[in-house]
Amino acid sequence: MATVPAWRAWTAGCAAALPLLASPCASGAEWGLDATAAAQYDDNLPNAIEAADRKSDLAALFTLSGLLHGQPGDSTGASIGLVMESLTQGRFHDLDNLALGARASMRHKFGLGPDVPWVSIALGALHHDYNYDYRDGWRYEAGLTAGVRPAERLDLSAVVQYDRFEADRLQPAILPGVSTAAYDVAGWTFGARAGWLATEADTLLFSLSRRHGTVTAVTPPVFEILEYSSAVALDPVFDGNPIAYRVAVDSDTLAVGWAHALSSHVSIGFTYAYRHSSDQDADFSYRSNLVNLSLSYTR
Amino acid sequence: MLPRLLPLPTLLAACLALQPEVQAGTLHARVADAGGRPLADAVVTAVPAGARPDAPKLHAAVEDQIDREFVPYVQPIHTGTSVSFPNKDDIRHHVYSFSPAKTFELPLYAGTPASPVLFDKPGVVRLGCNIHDWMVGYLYVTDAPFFGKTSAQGSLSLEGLPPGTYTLKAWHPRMEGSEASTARQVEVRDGEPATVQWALKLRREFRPPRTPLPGAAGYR
Repeated sequence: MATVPAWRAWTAGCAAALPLLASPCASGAEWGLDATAAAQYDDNLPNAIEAADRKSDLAALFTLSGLLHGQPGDSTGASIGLVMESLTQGRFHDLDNLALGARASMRHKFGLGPDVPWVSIALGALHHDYNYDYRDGWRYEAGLTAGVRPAERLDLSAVVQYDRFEADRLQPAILPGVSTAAYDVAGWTFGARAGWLATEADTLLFSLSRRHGTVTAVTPPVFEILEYSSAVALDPVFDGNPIAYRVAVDSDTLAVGWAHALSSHVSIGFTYAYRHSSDQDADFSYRSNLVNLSLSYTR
Repeated sequence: MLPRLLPLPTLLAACLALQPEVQAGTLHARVADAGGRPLADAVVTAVPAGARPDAPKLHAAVEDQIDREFVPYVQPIHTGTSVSFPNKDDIRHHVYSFSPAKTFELPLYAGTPASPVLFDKPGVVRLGCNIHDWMVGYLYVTDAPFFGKTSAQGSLSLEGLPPGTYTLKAWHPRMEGSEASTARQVEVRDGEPATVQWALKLRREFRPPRTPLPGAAGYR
């Protein structure tokens, strides 16, 4: 797949946007550094339908961002910068990957004060380099979030996000007339989120979202799933699950979390998410439990 | 017989001895929370009974913005003080207050604004930044001739107070109840430091989190 133009376009876009952001701010732009170390657990990495095919694993995730913060206008803040993510699985090392890319976001408040409504847009593009080369590719994200702080202790927001993954290259066809682009997935997510300040340093988080789109499910060869698949590829990542299918599902995710500020720059966080996915006709479904424990630093 | 002339040094000493002595007292204040822990950033004011003596007044003050925080967090100033708001961060700030004692706005700026802001009414002015919602600071504007704020040890000394009866009050941004409820009458005497203590019940102050939250992305 011809992804070099995407890489070049994004690089050129970021290179152009950085001075655009910096120049009007001249002395008003500041580089910041964000770093996160996290342990995350997923009890159904392959998105398997059958219980016997589920594979769980613990992974270490490190994220490093160098972001240029600026204010393009009154009540408006913006960030743009480079992002590096490193994921190392405990068991399934073919999923280990290093991602490099860029993210940009802009938030505008409709008025003065901490409780006025705000809206933000966020864009991101990261290239993931997996141990299993056919999974290499670009992840693109674009999101629109609106929020308000209706009470001193309560933050509410709603988000619409589009995500897309495009693999760098395709495997040779394994079934006549069936695409092997099993990793090329895309979806729309609609969600709501609430943050409740339990104490001055502790925030409780609740979110509910629905993603409508395609996912990659990796299972043993199952004839029935072909009926729902739009692409099939060989995938050696999980023992005993050698086939990757691209299927369209609706995924509902309920997440609860907790964040504790250790200082002005350091926090720890915990989230648990339950995800239930099913195809539009509810002919099949699967579920996942995800846990994340993180330590974050921001400067 | 001619009167004997006194030597000059003796004469000067005698004259000085006849001058009325300038008397001044000292007041030591200690402020703690309800649990007895020292409370920093509590403002203590002292108002003498009867006519107020002329007391030195500050007419200019500085409220910095450093590392995306207001510094100092609490600053007591005299009514009539002009305050400048230098931004010592590279990033721009947008300072504002909705407080009845002073409503103002310094739209997005870097460096030091050309004109300071005059605080001409007594009261508490809560400061905010419209870019960084967690930034909060307080200016305590007072008519009291004597005032100060407590150190990290919760202590404060007011010196040079003319002897007399004073009404003392304590205030803290997080205190529960009214400042008026903290009023105390204290006698200040020359050479006898007076001591006053408060234990303030505090409420929690909730600010938008500064540190990143799990799953949240975007501008900070």
